Amino acid sequence: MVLWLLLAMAASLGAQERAVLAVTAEGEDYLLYAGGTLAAMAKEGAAVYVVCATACSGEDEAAAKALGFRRMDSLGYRRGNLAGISPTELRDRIVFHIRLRKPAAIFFPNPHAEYDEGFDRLHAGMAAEEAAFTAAQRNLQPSHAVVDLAPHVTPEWYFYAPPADPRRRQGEAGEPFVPQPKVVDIAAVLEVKVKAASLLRTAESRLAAELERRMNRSLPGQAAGRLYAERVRGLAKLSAAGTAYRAAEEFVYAGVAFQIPAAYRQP
Amino acid sequence: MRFRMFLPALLAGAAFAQLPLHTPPPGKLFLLIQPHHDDHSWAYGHAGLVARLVESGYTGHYVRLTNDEKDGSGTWAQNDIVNHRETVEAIRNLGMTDVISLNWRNDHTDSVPHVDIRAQIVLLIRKMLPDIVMSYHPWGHYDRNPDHRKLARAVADAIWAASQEDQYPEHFALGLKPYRVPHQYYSQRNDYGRGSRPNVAVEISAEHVAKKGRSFWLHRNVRLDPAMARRVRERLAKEGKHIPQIEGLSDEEAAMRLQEASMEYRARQVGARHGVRYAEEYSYRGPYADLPEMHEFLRGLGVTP
Repeated sequence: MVLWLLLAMAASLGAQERAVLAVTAEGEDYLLYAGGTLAAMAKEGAAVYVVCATACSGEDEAAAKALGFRRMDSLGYRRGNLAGISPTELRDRIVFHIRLRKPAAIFFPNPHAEYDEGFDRLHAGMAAEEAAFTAAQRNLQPSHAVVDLAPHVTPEWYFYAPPADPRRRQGEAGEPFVPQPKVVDIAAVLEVKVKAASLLRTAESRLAAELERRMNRSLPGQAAGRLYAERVRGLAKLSAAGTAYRAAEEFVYAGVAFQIPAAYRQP
Repeated sequence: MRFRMFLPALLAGAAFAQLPLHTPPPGKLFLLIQPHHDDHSWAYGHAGLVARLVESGYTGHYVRLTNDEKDGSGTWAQNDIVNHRETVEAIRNLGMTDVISLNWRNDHTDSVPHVDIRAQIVLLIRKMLPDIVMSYHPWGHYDRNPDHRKLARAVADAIWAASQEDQYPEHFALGLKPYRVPHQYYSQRNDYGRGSRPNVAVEISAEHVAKKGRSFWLHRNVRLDPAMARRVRERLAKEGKHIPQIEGLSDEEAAMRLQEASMEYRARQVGARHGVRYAEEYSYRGPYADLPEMHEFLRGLGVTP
């Protein structure tokens, strides 16, 4: 009887655990643009899961672990080629993960962001936005019912993107029907994010080689090894500009009040 | 209602704010990659900047995505041939060397895989190593033309892919290497909604404007409209007015002069916004525009981002 009660309590606690799902094109995208906010959520007890549309590596998994995340799953598509795969297939694989993890919040690349050269992010973002919407529809992928994956409504959506658009902070008309800008303070977890990003050695080497080609000269010895730390600190500073924060990340955000006109919201 | 009227006026004001005057970088080669034969020479095209770059010593190639078979009053086959011939004439008028036509079907590029178009552009970039790429705006809004949207995104993606060691490694068998295009100039209509939002103005000379106007009507198959000149003259005559500059000219010659005047007026209006006689507006992206978070770090290394 006591054992049964303990099991029931554990099951109940498990059901209450707040899950968060981050969709990323490559292992570095979610980390650079949303890693701090996600790390803070993990620190507060959320179970953070990452779905990587390309084939994420052991380094990517180590970085996710350093951020305190529960698990990283790869969909295994080729880097640079998400434009060449079926958008429906990509969407439905993300729907599977949403129904599996039942997240309270989902993070994905903002497919509406301007001046983002990462076209893998565009296609992962389009698929994820559509997946977040369609995962709630009972008639989409009815075969999921066979494996007990029920439709799921994700209440909070965070769209992330490189801060490349000078007008990204301007909310678009249409609130509450259009997601709005949101800046999150990440000062408390900045060093955790820096440390995790520094584990992405392959991506860092790729960036070092790329910068050396562009500059037509070598990077000073120490600089090559701290590029991702510099990136993370630079991003935190850019996103904090114009706010009271020292380090931040910025999103376009659709929360529980999304699509509910102000007159119908409780104070 | 007053709010609704006021908002577009505010947005229009924002779109036409004074922009910094930008000096194009020194260099050797540019690629002008456009969906169609005439996209460089209309009011929002790159023709003035092209003329300025050529004058400063650049070599330029025109890359055309489609075969332009739908553009014009002839049959598809006739339009294809005539439009190609006229493109060659128009780009040579601006000082460019040749037209590289990718020849996808006009207005049917939505069905062409993005990665197919991108692969072709990556090869051109890696082979030619352009200092500058110019094209339609990859992030512009409200462009209804499918070829414009398709090409613009393929160009921006190709600029990324060309710089990556793990993309199209078969190119390296030819001795080609990853290459990042340092300067990009994008343009499209910027007078509706948030549309394409330029961030620089480039001064052009009266001669550049004249070349742009001429390149416009050199696309005779689609641009030269003698009936328009006839209608203008008839309407003015009813009001007892006339335009001395087109007196005695044929309708065709009058149409050429009117189109040149229209181009001059447009370039003058843009110039006036930015404190010079003539100008064009662009969305310019420099060598490190994709890494805004690294700019401070790069400055520390003595690099101007």
